[in-house]
Amino acid sequence: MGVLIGFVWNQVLINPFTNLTVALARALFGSYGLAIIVFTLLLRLVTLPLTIRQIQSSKKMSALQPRIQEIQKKYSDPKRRSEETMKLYKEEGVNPAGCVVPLLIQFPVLIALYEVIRITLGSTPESLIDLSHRLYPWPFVQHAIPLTSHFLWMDLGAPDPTFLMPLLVVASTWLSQRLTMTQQMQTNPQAAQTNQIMLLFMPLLFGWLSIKYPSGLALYWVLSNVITAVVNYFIFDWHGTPVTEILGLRDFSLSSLNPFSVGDPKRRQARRRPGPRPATEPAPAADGTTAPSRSAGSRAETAAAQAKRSTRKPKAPPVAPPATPVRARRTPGGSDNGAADTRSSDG
Amino acid sequence: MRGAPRRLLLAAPFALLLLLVTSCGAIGSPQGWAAPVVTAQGILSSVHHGFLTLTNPTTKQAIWQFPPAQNKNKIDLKGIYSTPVVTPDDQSVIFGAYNGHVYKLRLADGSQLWDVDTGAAIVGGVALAGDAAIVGNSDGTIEALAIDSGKQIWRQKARDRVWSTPVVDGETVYVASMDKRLYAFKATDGTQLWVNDSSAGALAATPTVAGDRLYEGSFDKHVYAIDKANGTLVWRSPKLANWVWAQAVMGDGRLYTGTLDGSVYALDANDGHIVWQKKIASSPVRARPALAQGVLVVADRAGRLEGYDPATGAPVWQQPVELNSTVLADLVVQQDGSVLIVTEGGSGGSRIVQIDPKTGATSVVGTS
Repeated sequence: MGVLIGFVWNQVLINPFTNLTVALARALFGSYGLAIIVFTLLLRLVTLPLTIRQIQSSKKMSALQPRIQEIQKKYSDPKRRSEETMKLYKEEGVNPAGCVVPLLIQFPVLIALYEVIRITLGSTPESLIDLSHRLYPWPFVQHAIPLTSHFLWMDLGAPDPTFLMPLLVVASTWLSQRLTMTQQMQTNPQAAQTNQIMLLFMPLLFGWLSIKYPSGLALYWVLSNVITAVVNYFIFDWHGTPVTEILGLRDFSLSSLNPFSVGDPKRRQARRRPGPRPATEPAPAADGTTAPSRSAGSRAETAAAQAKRSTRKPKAPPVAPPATPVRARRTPGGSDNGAADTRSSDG
Repeated sequence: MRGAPRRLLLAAPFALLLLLVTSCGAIGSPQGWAAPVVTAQGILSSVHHGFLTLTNPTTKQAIWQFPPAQNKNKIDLKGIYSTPVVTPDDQSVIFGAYNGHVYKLRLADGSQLWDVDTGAAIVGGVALAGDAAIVGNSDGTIEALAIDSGKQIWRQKARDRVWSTPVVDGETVYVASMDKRLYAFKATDGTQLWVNDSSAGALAATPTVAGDRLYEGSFDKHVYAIDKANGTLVWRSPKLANWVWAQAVMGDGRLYTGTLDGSVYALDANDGHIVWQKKIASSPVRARPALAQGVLVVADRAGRLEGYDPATGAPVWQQPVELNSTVLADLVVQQDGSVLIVTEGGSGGSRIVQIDPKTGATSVVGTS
């Protein structure tokens, strides 16, 4: 069985990816850096439907969180809770595994690409011997060896000695994670703690990996994160929204970086700015876009965001009732008591 | 579960993953494949990964090791691909290491006499030309260093890595580079004499000089014969099964070499046609074969050895010898006609093995 898996792994993923990157390098002036960039773009293009599905599924799940929490409060029986939750998912057309399946498909692709970069750049003589077994018998590919591993300031086959790429990896991973998690954190306080931990550890983990491993991998990862951020931007339709709001940084404090001092969710809710609790989910706008859901008591929307999202007739600002004219009351003696005698507004 | 235990549980997978991936950092690190060198005082080899060792073949124990055990200067060679070369006075040895340094050591005790940082990893061996030691590195730099002091005499540059060993013939040094070119320089001052760019593939094999020709295997799966006087192409062999990385050996008008798919070829040195072809197994043949006592001994990477009749390719031994260790270092013929092989790792372990080419019988002459 292991042999079969290994055969499939090599013949379906590793060898085709290897040959594709080598062919791209040869076509792109011998530059493996350009080959990685083009390969990443092609790969993300092919997996774009999965990526969009993953983000949309995540978005739908976030939108349902308030209703799920209501179910949690309403039913004490775990079985009933589960049934009602699944019923809700079915009604709304959400697959709870919808955000996981695309990840399960993309994950082996990521591992394969790591292996490809490690094999293809052949920085050690032993790895070059291994490469000879993987190249297809096409002269265009065979004659591409050795590849140029230098790109910009980096040797793609070695870690970046300037640490600039690891910093880019940390920043882009954080950005990509933050954009995905902001919506979840606003609607699901319980997920917020988990997400906080991931938001700290994932960028650091990948940053650490990029210090240890070839900078070609870091180049792929940074570009991949940027593409994810761009896709998020369009799916969540953040055009015109302030950056601080997109990243959920309005209430940012240094202590929020510590995942172990997230605190009691109830206390965090109490610290949130009081605001009107929407009675229902915001209705979709005429152009089909849906505003990101907000939890009760969340920060008020900016005027720009309101104007953008809502195509309904904007609410007129509250108008104060006209002031009741003040009439002086004359007493029978003809003297003015000097005090304004206002009538109440209802009478 | 709430509070601190839950948070620690959430953080634990990340810590474990970090531990796992950092421990996997050794994957793909250089191993080295320096061939053994027989000296009057013992056998020089890199049987201990990352160290150069002088072994007593009788007791099979190490006489000295470089860097030394105490290693006060924290020298890390990273791997030795370069076969050491003994200086003409038999008093010292020079070799290059994957850390980019060229070292000269006293042969008696392994003490360092000088070291020069060339700036990039060294994979090819060192060639001696008069008072100079010539070596190439992964940056494409070809340097001639004074044997007594390490001072640079001259320097040339190829367009890509030089992973082959320079070959000195008279006053000319020939260098094959991964930029697909074969260079000829004047050994005394580095003046470029000619360049041949017939090959469509990278050149990693060390050239073989025989008569008035140079023979070079290429990654384009051909072997080339070049006129060593002017660099013109004499012939190109038919396409072989895979890349040629093993240095060819010459005997009785035939060239013998191996390819990275595990094939062995005998080519006619006159016109390059294939006389015979055999396949050991599927593992690459990177080590230079040995022609000794009328037998062609070939080893593949998996440690499988075969003895062939050089004229016909017929197996000479009853069955192949399985060393169960990696063999990438060139095979070396000793004065008594036996063949030395350095193995690495595997179930057989890292050791120096001596083989009788007539029978295939093996014995261990040094261990890690």
